[in-house]
Formats: sequence, C-alpha cells, structure tokens
Amino acid sequence: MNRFPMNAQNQSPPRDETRPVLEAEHLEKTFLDFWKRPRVKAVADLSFSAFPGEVLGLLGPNGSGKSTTIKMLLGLLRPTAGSVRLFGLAPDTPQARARIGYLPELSNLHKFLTPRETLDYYGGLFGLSSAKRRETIPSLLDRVGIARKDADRAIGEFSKGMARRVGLAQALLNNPELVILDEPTSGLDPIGRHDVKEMIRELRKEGKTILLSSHLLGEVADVCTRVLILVSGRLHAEGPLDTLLRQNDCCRFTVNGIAPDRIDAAKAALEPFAPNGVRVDRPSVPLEDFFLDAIRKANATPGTQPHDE
Amino acid sequence: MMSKFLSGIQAGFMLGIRAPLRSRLVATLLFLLAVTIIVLPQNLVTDGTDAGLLRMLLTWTLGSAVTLLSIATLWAGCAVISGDIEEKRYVLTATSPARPFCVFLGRWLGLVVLNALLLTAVLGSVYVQVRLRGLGPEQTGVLRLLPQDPLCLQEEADRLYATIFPTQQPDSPEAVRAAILRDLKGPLHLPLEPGMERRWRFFLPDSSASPEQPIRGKLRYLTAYGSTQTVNAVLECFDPDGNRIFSQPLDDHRGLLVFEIPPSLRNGLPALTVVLRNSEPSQSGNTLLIRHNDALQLFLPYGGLARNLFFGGIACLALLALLAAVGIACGCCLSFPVAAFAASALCLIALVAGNPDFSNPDEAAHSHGTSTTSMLAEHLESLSRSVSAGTNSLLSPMRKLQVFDRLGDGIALEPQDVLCAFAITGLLYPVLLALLSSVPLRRREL
Repeated sequence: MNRFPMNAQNQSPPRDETRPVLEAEHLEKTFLDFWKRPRVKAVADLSFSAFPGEVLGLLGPNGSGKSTTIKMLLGLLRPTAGSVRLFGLAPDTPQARARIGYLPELSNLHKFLTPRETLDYYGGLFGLSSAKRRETIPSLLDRVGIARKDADRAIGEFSKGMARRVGLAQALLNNPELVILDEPTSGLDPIGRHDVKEMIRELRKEGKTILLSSHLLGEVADVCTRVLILVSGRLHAEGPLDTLLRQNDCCRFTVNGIAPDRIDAAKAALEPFAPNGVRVDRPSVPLEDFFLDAIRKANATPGTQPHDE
Repeated sequence: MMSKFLSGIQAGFMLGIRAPLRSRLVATLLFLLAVTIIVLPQNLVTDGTDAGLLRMLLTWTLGSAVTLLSIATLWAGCAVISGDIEEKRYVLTATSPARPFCVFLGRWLGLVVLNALLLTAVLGSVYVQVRLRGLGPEQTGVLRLLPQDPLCLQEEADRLYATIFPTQQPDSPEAVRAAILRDLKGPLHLPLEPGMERRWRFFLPDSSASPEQPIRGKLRYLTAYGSTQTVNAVLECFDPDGNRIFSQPLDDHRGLLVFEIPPSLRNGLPALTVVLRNSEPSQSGNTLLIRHNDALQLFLPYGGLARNLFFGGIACLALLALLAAVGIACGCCLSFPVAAFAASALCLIALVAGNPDFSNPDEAAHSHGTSTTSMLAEHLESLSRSVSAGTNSLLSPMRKLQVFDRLGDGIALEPQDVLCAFAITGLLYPVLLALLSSVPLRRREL
C-alpha cells in the first residue's frame, strides 16, 4: 500500500535551465575533540542542489546529519571538506545572507521582546528601512496567525506554538528567495500545521525555494517536490517524491459508487490479470483533513467558540 | 550600504537598551545606587571642615557609584553576546547580513547610553546633596591648576648638574644628567641642601580669565627632622624679566605652605618663575625634602562644582564605555562565567600593573641592584616591565585626569584633557575592540 497518497500539487516542477539556488558539493563535517583529534564524522561526501521553485525535503533519523548540513549551508559551521554556494556566493557573505530566511529547530527569541519588537530588531539586522518594517510587520504577523492583541505581548508569555509562529515570521521578514525551515511545525497544533503547509505552497508558487527538514513524514509528503534521505551522514536516497514513492509493480483503481454486492464480481474480473493477487479495501480520509473538517463544523455551530491558549 | 550599516547598529542599540531595562538590571542598579549615594553618606565621618565634607561627599559617593556601575557594566557586557550564543539566540543574528562589528557596536552603544543616564542621575544626586548640606559657591568653587613649563624641568636638571659638578665632570655625564632628570620627575623626595634652590616655571592664562582673582599656591615639603622642625627658607616669584614680584618665608607651616599672589601683581604676565631657596647656613645641615614634580601647585579660580562634575561625568563615562567594550569582547570569545572572570581579571591586572606606585619600571630597575638573576627571571622582569609600560601608555589619558582626586580637592578638570581621554578611551578603544572581536565572532561555530 502506498502510505503517502500523492496529489497534483506535489508533482515535481519542470527542471529548467536556471542556475541552482543552492549547491553543496562533497560536503564533509568531522567534529574534533579538544586535542583536535577527529571525534565524529557527522556528514560524509554529501552533494546536492536546489533549484528555484523547489520544496526540498531533508529527512533522516536522529543523528543523521540534517542539522549539521543545514548549518554548513548557512555558514554556521565550516565544512571539513567540500563547498557550499548559495546564489553562487559563499554562504557567509552578507549578499547571500540577505536572500535567505532561516527558521532553526530551536528558535529561542528574546523573551522580553514583543513580536513586533522582535521583527523590528531582525528587520534592522536585514537592513530594512524603518518605513519598510512598519509596512511589513503587521501583515507578516497576520500571515503567521499572531493576533493583533498578541503583537505587543512579551514572547516569554507565549506558548511554544505561538513563539514558533513568530520565528516563522522572522524567517520571512526579508522576503527571502531561499527559505530554510528546520522542523517548522514543531509545537504547532493541527490547524497551525495546516497553515504552515499552505504557506509553504504559497511560497513555492511565488517562486521561492524551500529546504524543509522534518521528522513528520506526512507533512514532508504533503508539500515537498523532492527529498533527500540522510543516514549516518551519507545520502541514502534522493529524487522527486512521486518517483521515489511510486510502486511500479501495482496500480490502484478508485471506483466510486459501486454497490457492495458487485465488489466481489469486480475483484474476480481483475484476478486473471494479477498473478500476485488483488486486494480490496475502502480508502479513508486523511486524519488531518477529518480533524480540520470537524473543527470547521464545530466553529460553524453556535455556542462552541474556540478558547484562547 | 551605509544605511544598512547604520540600520544594523540601530537594531543592536535598541536591543542593548531594552535588555538591561527589562531584565531588571537597571532597577536593581538604581536601588543600589540610591543606597550608596543617598543613604550611606548620611553617616559620613569628616574632619569637621567644609572642604573635608565636600571631599568625602564627592570621593565617597562618586567613587562608590562608579565602582558599582563599573562592575555592572563589565558583567552586563560579558553577558550581551555570550548569553545570546549560549541560549541559541545568536544563530538568527549570525545568519543575517549584519556584520558582527555592527552588532557589537550597537549593543555597546546601548550600554553606554544607559550608563550615561545613570551617571547623570548620580551626579545630579551628588550635586543636590552638596547644596542641601549648606555648601555654597564659596565652599565648592573650583580651582584651575596652572600648567608647568616642561622645558623648565630640563633646565633645572642642567642647573643641578652644574651645581653638583662645577668643575670636574663625571665619567658619563649624559647618564648622570638623565638620572637627575629622572629623579626630578620621580616620586621620591629629594634634598634641598642649605644654600641651594629649586625653580619652577608656570604658564599663566590670558589676563582676561579671572582678572580679579588671586593666584593661589600650595607648596608641600618635609624637613629632615620631621615637620615640627622649622627651616629658614623662602619662596619667591619672578616675572619673565627676572623682577621679584612676591616673596613668602616658609616659617613654621608644618609641611604645607599656602599662599596667594594678588591679582595686581600677576596681570598681563605670560609666565611666572617660582624659586624655593634654602637660606640656612651651609654648616647647619637643615635640609628640606621636596618631591619636585608635584611639590608646588598654582591655581586660579575656574568655575563651579557643576561644571567640574559635568566633566568628571564625561571622564567616568569614558571608563564605563571601555569596560562595556572589554566585557562584550570577552563575551564574543568565551562563555559567560568564563568571560566575566577573564574580564574582571584583566581589569584587575590593568589596575595593578599600571599603577606607577606599584611598578615603576625605572624604579624597579634600580631597586634590584647588582644581584645576579637567572635568564628566566630577566625575561620575566622584562615582560613585567613591558606589560606595565604598555598598560600605562594605554591608560595614560585616563590616569592623567586623576578624576576623583581633582574632584575631591576642588581642582578643575581641563575640558581638552577630558575630551581627549573620552575620544581615546571611550571611543577609539571600543571601536578597535569591536573590530578585533568580529574576527572570533565570525569564525565561531554555532
């Protein structure tokens, strides 16, 4: 059974001739101990690229080198070997950094600042004028779901999910061309996760490139066009999602409106064509869709308003 | 590009202001400062004179307040960037296009502005307390120290050399001249034998400055047999043409002669030569001991306490700005507790190594005599001298001001000296530290 049902939105974009936004060649990272002896090889001989409009998923078990790879891409760690180019530039140049948005796995923001002040601070670091910041920040806060009344509360009073939303807003502040998201939905409720996925799809439509690292495979399947699977610091699998997940030795027919007493007949008709057998089951709605639908219906019913966190 | 540069500094500045305010550091400091400068001075024990009370008020309250602010600034500086790195907040700053230099300067500027506000509150409080204690302009008037002619010191050394060696020359005359000059500049008390004299030359300001005010002078001296023994000596003043315009015998002044030269005698004169002559018979052996470099000081009235406090505040702000930069620089390289310890240790070493009373390189070279030392000891001594000399030269603009001594003694702080000290210690050094710190900050792996 194909555990990750595909939809038309996740088809790979046509690979055009534009220059890759991100190029990593033969990346290696070995951490040293105090005496400069090699201690652990976190990433070994990793090469990949990302093109405009792609949503690239970075998957792997704990300790596979995902965060290390991301940090090398951002210039936060120096590769032991190999090279990284972002927009054709070294990753630690101001010109490259001006075009990147980054949401780390642990986005610890200054607890004493409000969301507005936080975005104002980072907007200043990105060189945005005060007029531009005044114009951008309210709409950005709306986009990530921070209510106006919460925009002037200290982040220290927020839940983890709300703080994460502020972090997401920070990652989009400079309208980046490359957005790197490390566990973006961590701490978010299902509605928040849905909103983030929608946002990623919108960003993709805007032509941005997104690099997404996540343990939530369902969310990766929903939004990514291509995935890299790292195991023990090495690239284990890479390619468009539809290609990687396709089971070429079977196919599925979805029959709508068939009467229950005709199912056996239909199965019997197919059996001569399937030497390995025919399996019949009833498709189910994804839990997320069911949950969102339930919430929508509840909100539409009078007397069942959602509570603040 | 300049706007992006300034934008980064401005962003850091706003954060540098908000962080201490919202972390209750400023509130805690205000409370401690209030206790130190308002509550505790109520029990000050003085010598009963207005000058003594003023001195205690100014040196105690300002000294304590600046000490508190120094410690807080140094440690807050250490926490600024090291705290962000340890709590994983710096990652977002590091991945922005803002240069580490701009981030450093912005955060530093925030600390400096906060210190300026706190210092203003401290100085205002001190001024109000002085007035509430009934000390008016008469008691709090400030005197300007008249500058000595540095050429006079060389002439004095040559004159003493000629007196000591009237005919026969020593084996190395240049070394002896240098030794005499060094002794005149040094902290030791030198003998003024019977029949000998010492000279000083002072520049006088334009006669339009305080035309009705007398020149006040202080001469500090010791006698060979203690201050109870009088010595027959006289202090005389001469104009540039050599005419004597003033004379004052030492009499029994117990080591401190205070005198006044009436304004009518000094008007229009560009300089004044003061001569102290030991008039005792040569067989008497009654010797005066004086520390030539600072034995004699001449003053003119020069403004009031408020003006002096203002310039004193600028000098203190320069010191606090340097401490903030040192703290932030240490925090760029080390984690917080280690950075705080390292910064505190560096300041202590600078305080001790640069103190001329503790390690005057020239005095140390003499005091070791001719005993043989190992090569290691020689190298260590050389290193010690280098550290001391380096620290002295780096901090000389601040040391030259002698802020608390002058404030307490009612001696004016010269604006050009204060502004020079501020420019070097409070601006240039922090900018250099920012440039140097941006290297480890950029190379640090997060």
